[in-house]
Amino acid sequence: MIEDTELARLRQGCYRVLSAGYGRPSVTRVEQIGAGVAALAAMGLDSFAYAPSVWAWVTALQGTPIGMVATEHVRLFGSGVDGALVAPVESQRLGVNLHGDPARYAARIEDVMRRAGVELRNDDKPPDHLLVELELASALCGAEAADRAAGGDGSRWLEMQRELIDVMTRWIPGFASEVADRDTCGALAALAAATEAFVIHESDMLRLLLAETRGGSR
Amino acid sequence: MRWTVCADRLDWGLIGLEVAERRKWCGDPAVPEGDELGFVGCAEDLDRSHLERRLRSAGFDPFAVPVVVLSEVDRSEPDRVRALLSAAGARSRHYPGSRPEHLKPVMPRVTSRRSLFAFMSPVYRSVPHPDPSTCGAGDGCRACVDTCPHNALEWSNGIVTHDRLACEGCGRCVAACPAGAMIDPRFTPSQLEAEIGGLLGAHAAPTGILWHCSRGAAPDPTPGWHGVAVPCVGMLMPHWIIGPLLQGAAAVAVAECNCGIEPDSDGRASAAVAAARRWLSAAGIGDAAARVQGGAGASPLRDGLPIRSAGIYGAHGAAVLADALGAAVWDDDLAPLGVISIDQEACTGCEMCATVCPSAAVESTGDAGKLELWFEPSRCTACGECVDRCPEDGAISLRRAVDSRELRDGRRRLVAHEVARCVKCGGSVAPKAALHRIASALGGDAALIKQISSVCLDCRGTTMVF
Repeated sequence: MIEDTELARLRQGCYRVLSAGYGRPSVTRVEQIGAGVAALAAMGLDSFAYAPSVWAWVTALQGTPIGMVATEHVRLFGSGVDGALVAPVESQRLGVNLHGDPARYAARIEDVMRRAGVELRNDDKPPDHLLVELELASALCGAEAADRAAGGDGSRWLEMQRELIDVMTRWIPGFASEVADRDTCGALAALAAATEAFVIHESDMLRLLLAETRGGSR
Repeated sequence: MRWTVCADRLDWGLIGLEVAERRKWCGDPAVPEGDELGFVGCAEDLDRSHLERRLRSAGFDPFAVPVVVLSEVDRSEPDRVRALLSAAGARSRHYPGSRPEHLKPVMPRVTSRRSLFAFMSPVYRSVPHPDPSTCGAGDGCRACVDTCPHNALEWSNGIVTHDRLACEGCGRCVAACPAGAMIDPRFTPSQLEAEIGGLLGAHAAPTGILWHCSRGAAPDPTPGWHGVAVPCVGMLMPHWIIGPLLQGAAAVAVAECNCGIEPDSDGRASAAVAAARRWLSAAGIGDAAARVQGGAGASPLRDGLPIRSAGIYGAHGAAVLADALGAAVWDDDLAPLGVISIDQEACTGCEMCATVCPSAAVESTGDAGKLELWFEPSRCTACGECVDRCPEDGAISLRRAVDSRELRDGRRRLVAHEVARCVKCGGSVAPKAALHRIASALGGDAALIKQISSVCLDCRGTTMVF
C-alpha cells in the first residue's frame, strides 16, 4: 500500500527520470538515472506494470558504451544524420505541415505552464519537446504531492496532468515504434518503450485518481 | 521449466516431479534467479500481488510466468497436479508477450481504516487490444465495436480505439474478430490449444474439459474433468466448444458463468452449446449430447473421437473443424461460417464488399476490361460486414452455414462485370453497371453522364467529351 502523497512523488520521479533519458547522454547522467530508478524502486516502482520496461531501459543504458548512446542520440533526436531523425517533438508528430501549426502545439503546453506557474528556463528546446513535457508533468505531480501533503485532494493538478497525458498518448506510441525501428544501440529504443509503457499507464491511472477525487469513493 | 513450489500443504515426494520445494513460500514468495521459471502456491495462502511485484523486480512479465494455485481437492490427486503443471508450462511457452495497451489497472476494494489515507497498489488484468498490422478497421471493419457490450471500443477514421477502464475483458471482441487481430495476451488460441493438450496428455483415462469463466471463482473440480478458463463463457463459439474433442477429450461442457458482469453470458453459452451439438449431429456424430454435456460429469465419459485436428481456436478455426468433421451441411443462425452470394442484377461492382472483408474471403480482380468478385468459403467467418456495408439493397446476401460442399469446391467466382474503357487512354473507367447506377442517380444531365462515363479519373481533368 502506498500513501497518496508518496504515489504522487513516485510518479513525479518516474517522469523526471524518463525526462533525463532524453537529455544529452553522459557518464554522470547514466549514473544519476541508475540512482534515480533505484530510489523509485524503494518507493514502490515494482508495484506497477511499467516497472519491467523501466528496468529494461536502465539495463540497456548501463550496458551500452556511452559514446555509442551519445552518437545514436544525435542521430535520432538531434541532427538526424542518414535520415534517421525521429523528432521527440509533439508538433512534428501530430501537426500538419501548415504555417503556424507547430506553434499551436507549443502554445498549448505554454498555456499549461502558465496556469501551473512554471516557466521554461532553458530555451534550447521547444515547449512541446518530449523532455520538456515530461519535466512539466513531473512538476505537476510535485505540486499534486505538495497539495495532498497539505490536506488537499490534488484534483487541480491531476486535471492539468490529464491535459498533457491525453495528447501524449496520441503520439508517443508511434514515436516509440519509430525509435525501435531506427535505434541501433538499443538503449534509446528501450527508453522510448519505457516512456510509452509509462504514459499509457498514466492515462489510465489519472482517470482512476480523478474518478476517486470526483466520486469521493474513499 | 524450473518449478518452485510451496511445500507447506503438499508432500511433493508423492507427485514424483523434480521441483524446488520451499517451506512458507506462499507467505514470502521469493523468485530465484534464472529463466523458465514456474511457481506453485496454495489457494489459501498465496499473496499474488506480492509475487507479481517480486517478478517485476526480477525483470519478468508476470503474465508470462506460470503460477499454479492448488486447491485442497487438487492436492489430493497427484495425477491432477502433474496435469496442471504440464498444462501451465505448455501455456507459458506459447505466451506471445503483452503490450502496455493490454494492461488494465484495477484498484482492489478498500477495506481498512488505514487505507482511507493510502493508495492501494493496482492489480492488472489483461484486456484485448487490436493488432494494427492485421486489424481491418482501416478498411471499415467494425465487428469488434459492434459486439462489445460495454461500449469500450470505438471506430473512428479507420482506427479502433479502446477504453481500457470501460473494458471488462469479456473476450467477445476476440471471438468476433474475423481477422484474429483482437488479441488478449493471456488467452490466445495457441495458449488454449497448448493448455488443453497439456491437460489431456497427462492422463491415459478418458478426460473431460470444462470451459469456465476466468473472472469468477473456478468451479469445484470434478473427477475425470479439468477446467480451462476463457475470459468469459459468453464468448464461446460452437467450434471452440467442440475443439477439445478433436484434441482427444472424451467430452466437453461449459460451466455456468458466475461473474455476473454480462447478464446474457449464460444464455449465449447455452445457445453455443446447443449449436455445437447440432453441428456434431449434422456431421453424423450420434452421441452429441454425451460429447457436449450439460455440465461436468453429467454423463459417464467414454473414449474420445477418432478424429484429431489442430488450429481450431484461431480466426479460421471453424473451417479447420468443418474440414476435420467431414461431409456436413448445417444451416444455423449460430454457424460460424458463411456462404456469400451476389445478385448480378443489383450489384454495381463498387467492390465495397471486397474492400471491407476483414478475412479476405471476398476479393476482387480486374483484368482485360473485366471486374470479377471471388469468394473463398473457408475464409468467411459470417461476420456480415460485406452485407452491412453494401450500398445496393439486396445485392449481397449471407447464408450462415457450414457447408462441406462449398468448402470442398473452394474459391469460386461470385460475379463478373464489364468495365467501361477510357476514350482517351484506353484505361479502366468503372464497371458499366456502376456507370448505369450513376446515370440513373444523376437524372437527365446527359453531358455530365457522358463526361463521367467516357474518361478515366486520370484523363478527366484534361479531356472534355462532347
